[in-house]
Amino acid sequence: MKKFWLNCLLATATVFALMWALSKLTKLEMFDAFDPIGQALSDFELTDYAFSRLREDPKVDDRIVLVNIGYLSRAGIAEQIRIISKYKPKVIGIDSFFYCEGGLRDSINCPAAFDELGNMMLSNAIQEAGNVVLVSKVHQTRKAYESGANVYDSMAYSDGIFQEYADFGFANLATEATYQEDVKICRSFFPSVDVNGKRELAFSVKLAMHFDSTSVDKLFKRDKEEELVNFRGNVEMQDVKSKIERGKDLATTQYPVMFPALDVHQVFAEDFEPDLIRDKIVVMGFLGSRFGDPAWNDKFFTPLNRKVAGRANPDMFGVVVHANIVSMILNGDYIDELEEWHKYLIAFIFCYFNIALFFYINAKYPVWFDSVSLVLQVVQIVLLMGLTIWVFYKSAFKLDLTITLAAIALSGPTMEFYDNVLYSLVRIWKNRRLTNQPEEVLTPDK
Amino acid sequence: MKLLRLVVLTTMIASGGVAVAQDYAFKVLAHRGSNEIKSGGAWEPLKTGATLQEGDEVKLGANSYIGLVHSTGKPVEVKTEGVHTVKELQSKVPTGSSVLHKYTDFILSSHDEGAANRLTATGAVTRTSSPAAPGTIKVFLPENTSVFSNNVLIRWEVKENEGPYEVNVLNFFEEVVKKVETAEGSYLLDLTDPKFANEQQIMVVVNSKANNKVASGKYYIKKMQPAEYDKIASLVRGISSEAGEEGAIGKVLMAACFEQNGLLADAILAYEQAKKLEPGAFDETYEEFMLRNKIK
Repeated sequence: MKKFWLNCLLATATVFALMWALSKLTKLEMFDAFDPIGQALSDFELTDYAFSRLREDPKVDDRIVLVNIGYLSRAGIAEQIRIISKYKPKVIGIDSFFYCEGGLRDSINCPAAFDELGNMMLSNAIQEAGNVVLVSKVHQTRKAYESGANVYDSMAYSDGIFQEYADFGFANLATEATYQEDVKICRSFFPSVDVNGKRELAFSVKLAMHFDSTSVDKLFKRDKEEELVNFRGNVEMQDVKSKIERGKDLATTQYPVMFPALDVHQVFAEDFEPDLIRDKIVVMGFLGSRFGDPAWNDKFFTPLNRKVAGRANPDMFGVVVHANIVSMILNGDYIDELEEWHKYLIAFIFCYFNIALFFYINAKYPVWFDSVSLVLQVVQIVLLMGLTIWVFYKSAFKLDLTITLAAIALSGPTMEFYDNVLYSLVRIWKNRRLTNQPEEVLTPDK
Repeated sequence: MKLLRLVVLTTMIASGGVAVAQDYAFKVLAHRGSNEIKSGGAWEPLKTGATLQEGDEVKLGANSYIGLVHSTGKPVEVKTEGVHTVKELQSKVPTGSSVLHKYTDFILSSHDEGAANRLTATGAVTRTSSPAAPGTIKVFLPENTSVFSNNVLIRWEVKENEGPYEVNVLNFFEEVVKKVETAEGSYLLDLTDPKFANEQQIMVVVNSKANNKVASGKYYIKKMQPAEYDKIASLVRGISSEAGEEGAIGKVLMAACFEQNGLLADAILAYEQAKKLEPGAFDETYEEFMLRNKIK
């Protein structure tokens, strides 16, 4: 019996060794050219199904109002701020930088720097509003970048003329993008980042803090470096001129309007009720040249996307991602998840008992082994996938069982490999060792 | 006694909840296009944040959209052109099907069915009336301005072999509302024209008739809101009574007042009027104004 459990342990170790080897191989990107499915599914997470299709319909959060700045100049944005602040919002967040990227302050690379009137108007509008939060950006200097460490040692702010009367929060979101225009998949954010010993807060955290400082306490008490975003919904409308396509559901996400929103011209025409703005969080940012513009600038893939894997259109503008984070902080409806070691422990337990079961079936009913083990694996995988979605829905807990699912999928073939190949090799090796020993010459007793 | 207190409290809470629930049926979260609301008598333009009560109706224009939130907090989208009653919209409020139901639907439905029409998308762009080379024609107007007066003087730089010109006035959806042909280098736009009656904001683009690739950028002109209009009107009345409305000095003072209030198109018109009344007298002042405001 002791030998049986030892074999189970060794076979489980083989499964984990195989998973480790496979993960190393995929990191080397040796077979990427022949792995289109793996590449397509690399961004896939099971809980995305829950987000995009299966959870309870979320409710609208009308404490956060989005304002589209389109392609307005700085003077145009100043005018929007002036109009909005007349209606006494609690805080105005502007999800736009007003600087010359890369420090290139010439008229070709940064004509806005020479728009003195526009800059003056914007600065005055920020000063007069008195409750503006601007975005900043955490950076790595070349030295920190080359060190390869996840350390940020520099900050980028809008030009000095806008700094004096505004508060700042960094707008960086956690993605795998290597540059701004790269494909951006956003599932989480960093509430704060340490920059040269100073704690910098995220843009959304700053907005929530200005609105209700107690809500931020709960976030900080969680003491998590990275938080998953509990996406509530989107702000997306379609501009469908073709009559044939008008009736179709062309939205990229399931919950297309979850926050009140004003388009560029609606602000200038003051085409809204004062109560929409009063005592609310107003977040100004880019939502296309107009509502319905299918622009991809500052647009992210989120778990709300109806296409959970493979090629798809990005679904959410950056300003809406920030609004979702603010909403999550105000509601305190965070998503919890397993610690890394929990994931391995659960995978180990499942794998170990699966292998024990397979050894038993193989010993007792060898004819039935292949079909029964396959059915057991499929049933377990489907049930665990369902469990992941159900737990996510019930308690906003992200039960990431990817390693467990992989271990279950590999346990059957690996057990056979272990039993037929590894174990047999060991037996052969042992027998050889025995047969290679010098023969004992037995001399008859005299 | 305790029971009585409990009953009273429960009734109060229940009645409070009903009162909140009856406060409105829907609230407008966002909308695009030309949409209207009928709350009682006449149809009125729809505003974001407006509330809809039982018995109200909304009218959706072509290619328009209304995002509503029901009093229960659930969102409802209106995309179909035409009139919709609140009662009809209430029937569209999601009833909240169970996750099990959704899961079953999801498992049983196929999301990867081959599309019947695989030739929907083209590999081409549509080039509309947007200028192909913006900025070729320099218009002497700020890119974005509010106007107090009923007229806006659109003046541009005339070059050889470019004329005659077309002045295109577009609405927010970039549809041409008015098109005028002129051989001159300016056009006085009358905002009281019935064609602009429903336009709060318009865009102006000037192009060469012979070659519409030679065009200006877009210049946004916004009508003032009544409250601000009254404020400026009282200032204008004050200047008129002090300096006279018809004299050149009065016009220049008026221009300065407009400039101070950010009404640059009105200031241009006032300077041009002063220039006509006293040719050459205020050229330098006018030139400084244009340069100061980066119009020239």
